[in-house]
Amino acid sequence: MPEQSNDYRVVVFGAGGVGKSSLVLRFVKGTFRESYIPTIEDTYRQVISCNKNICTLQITDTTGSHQFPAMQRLSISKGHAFILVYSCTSRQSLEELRPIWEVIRETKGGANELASIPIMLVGNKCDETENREVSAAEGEAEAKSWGCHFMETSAKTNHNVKELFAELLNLEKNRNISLQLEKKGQLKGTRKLKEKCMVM
Amino acid sequence: MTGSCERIDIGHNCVEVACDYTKRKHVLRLSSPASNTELLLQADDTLTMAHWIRDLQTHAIAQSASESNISPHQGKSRKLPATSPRKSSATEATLPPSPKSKTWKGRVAKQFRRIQAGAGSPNSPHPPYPPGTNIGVPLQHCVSSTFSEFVPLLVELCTNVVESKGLEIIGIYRVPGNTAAVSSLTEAVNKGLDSSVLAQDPRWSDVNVISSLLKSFFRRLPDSLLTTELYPAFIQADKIEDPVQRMNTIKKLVHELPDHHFQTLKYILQHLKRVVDNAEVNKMEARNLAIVFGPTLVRAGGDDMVTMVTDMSHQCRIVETLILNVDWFFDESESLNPVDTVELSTGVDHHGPTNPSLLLNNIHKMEGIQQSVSAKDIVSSILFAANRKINRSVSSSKAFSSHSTQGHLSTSASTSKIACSLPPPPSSTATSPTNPQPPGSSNEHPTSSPSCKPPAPSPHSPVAQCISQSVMFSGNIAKKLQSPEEEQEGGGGGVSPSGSSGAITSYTGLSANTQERIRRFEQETLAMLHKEYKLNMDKDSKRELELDDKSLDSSTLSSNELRPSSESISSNSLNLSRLSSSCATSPSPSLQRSPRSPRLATRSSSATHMKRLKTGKELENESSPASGSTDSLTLQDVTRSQSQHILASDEGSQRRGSVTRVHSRQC
Repeated sequence: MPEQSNDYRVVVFGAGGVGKSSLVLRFVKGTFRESYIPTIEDTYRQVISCNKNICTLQITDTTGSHQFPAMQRLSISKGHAFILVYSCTSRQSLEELRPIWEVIRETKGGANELASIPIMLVGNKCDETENREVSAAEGEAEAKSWGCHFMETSAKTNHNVKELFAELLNLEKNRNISLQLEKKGQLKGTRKLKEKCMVM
Repeated sequence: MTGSCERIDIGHNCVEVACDYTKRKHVLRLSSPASNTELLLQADDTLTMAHWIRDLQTHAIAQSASESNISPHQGKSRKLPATSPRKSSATEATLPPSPKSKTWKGRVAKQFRRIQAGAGSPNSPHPPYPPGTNIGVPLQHCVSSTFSEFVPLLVELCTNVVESKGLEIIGIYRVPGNTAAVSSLTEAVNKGLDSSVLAQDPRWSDVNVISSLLKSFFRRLPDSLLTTELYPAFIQADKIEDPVQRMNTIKKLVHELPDHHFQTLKYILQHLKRVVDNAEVNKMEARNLAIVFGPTLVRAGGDDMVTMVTDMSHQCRIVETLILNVDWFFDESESLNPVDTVELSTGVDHHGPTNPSLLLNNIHKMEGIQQSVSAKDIVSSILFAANRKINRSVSSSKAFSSHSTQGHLSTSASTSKIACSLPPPPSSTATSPTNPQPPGSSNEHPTSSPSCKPPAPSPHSPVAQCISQSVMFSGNIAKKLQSPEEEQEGGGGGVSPSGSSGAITSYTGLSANTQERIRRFEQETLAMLHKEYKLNMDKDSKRELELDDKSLDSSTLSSNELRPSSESISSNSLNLSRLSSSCATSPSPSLQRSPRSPRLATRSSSATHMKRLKTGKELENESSPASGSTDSLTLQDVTRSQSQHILASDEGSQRRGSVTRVHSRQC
């Protein structure tokens, strides 16, 4: 299958209830919902532009509730960049990410290649200071041991959400500077306000 | 039977279907890891084979349970009270002298094969199930629970833990337990289920671990709980539009399940119902549980991802239906076929809350309106009607000229046409939300739809605005696209005025911003349509020439169809909005009147539920960009090529099917 140059896929992983959908929705729509609905799988598309070309940022919001390895592997093999979300209020949710990270590592090949894949470890719900189980330092240490980048966010308070995605795309330039620089540079400034109807 | 009629130790054997043995049909394999032997037995038919497998497995369980003290060859006594009393007499170590052996005809081949296990025989690719294994083996193989021989003990233990400690935990069954704990517990459980030992295991007190264990148990069943065999039938049953018929079909299927599956399903659903009863605390409503359990309980054999993705919404809906109506489904005294009042109310009750909420999610995403009863009714009616109409137009599109070809290729366009041509259902629901009209009557005044004209200076003004936008999309596009169709249909006279007026007036009440967005959307849609039109003109021109003669006839036909179809839409809208109990007494009149309806219904429901798969998570008070409506309009595309959505997402924008969402950010 030929690589689609104008389609950039970000996959969001994490245990159930850590706020994957909330993060994505906050980024895509700027809203936050209080409701509690598990995700099956959602894909959001956002048009970004790179040097006058239209580029689609495709964000796949996966399910945390039932993990079928086959589905997971498919998402990973299709994904260009990954966001691994845990909840600061649950150490368990951080530990859940390890097997996923390992699958990513296996799927995406050797250490050199892995280093070039943008992966962000994200501690969500950082606003819930009272229930915090994982400190930022611990998360950071974990990220370091995995060789990926780290950020704490709160979809509820909109803390670091935009930065998370910006940083993720920013990381991509390590792999292919000429192409990815455009993406990074264009992300904030010239994101098209205009919605695109993509019916073909 | 040759001289090799030696005694065979069933208790140590693993029984399975020899699916890799292709020379003959209905062959089952008895393999004994201890003696490195394999025994292939051929049965008359699948059913007989299934019986044999079940019996042999039961024997194996009974024997393995007793083997710790007693020699396998004398395994008549059973230590565990949990094992099946039914099979106790047949725990002989020899090939069972079961009555079923009489059904084997003389010609049945019994082949003895001795194969060295180390030889890497292709006949033994499946690992045998070690005795005492509880996870990853067929239900029949599991140790039975204390109350029923058909329900595995593990299920009983897990549900007990969840019910005693987990009913008030937020996200029970959604939040996973520690993976390491789950896998180590799985190992422990496979070494034997001694509840007194397990009770002391600290991992048993972690409800999330236990709930994950239970899910893992069901996920790893070789045959899913609703069985691979009946899986296609269940999915088909879920696609039935008529709620009563759908419920009846599913119930019938449930009762066709093998005993083990039936009883276990009944037990787990009753348990899930109790979880749902605490939904206010644990936030796991039936729908949430269904999302978690659907793909686990209802799955096809194998790892076919396309099937999995395509059917996932149905899997979830089936489980949701089952949870909500567990008592009815498992009430065996009630006859299946007659449609009595109980069934009716059950069906409608279920159908009511499900569909509108799905559509609602969509709507809230579209316009970010505040929740209000009439908002639900109006917009969901429009959308639902639109979906149905799309299906109709697809099925009859050949009859239309190139314009309608264009329309059916572009979902936005067909949706628009529909929204404009079908104001009646929304209007009737909006003006008399508590006093529904019978399905037919709302139809007879297609143009009297004041509520479609925005913006009503009422508390529902966001609603009106929303409607007006929907109608307006339709209006403008329809003006350009629909006229040829109207001429053909002849009966479309009542349709077009409302469509165009909607288009014109609807701009007035909107903010400049919204208007701008809408115009842009329309322009882009039209541009897109135009492009596609050109593309498809070439392809279709030949066919159209051929069809030219026929098209006259078929267009007449389609105009005849118009009315029944819209009636069905209106009745459905009413059903959806849960306004009418009287609707339930005459469910889906369209099914009888319109020859095409059954098929359409299927498509429509699948569309609806695919939608749910995509948007099951939207919230009422989200404000979102107008592109949200693009999303809802492209819904049909999503459905048509669901598999592409995930599997072929590489094609990205090249495929209309993969155009799932176009979200723009409001910066």
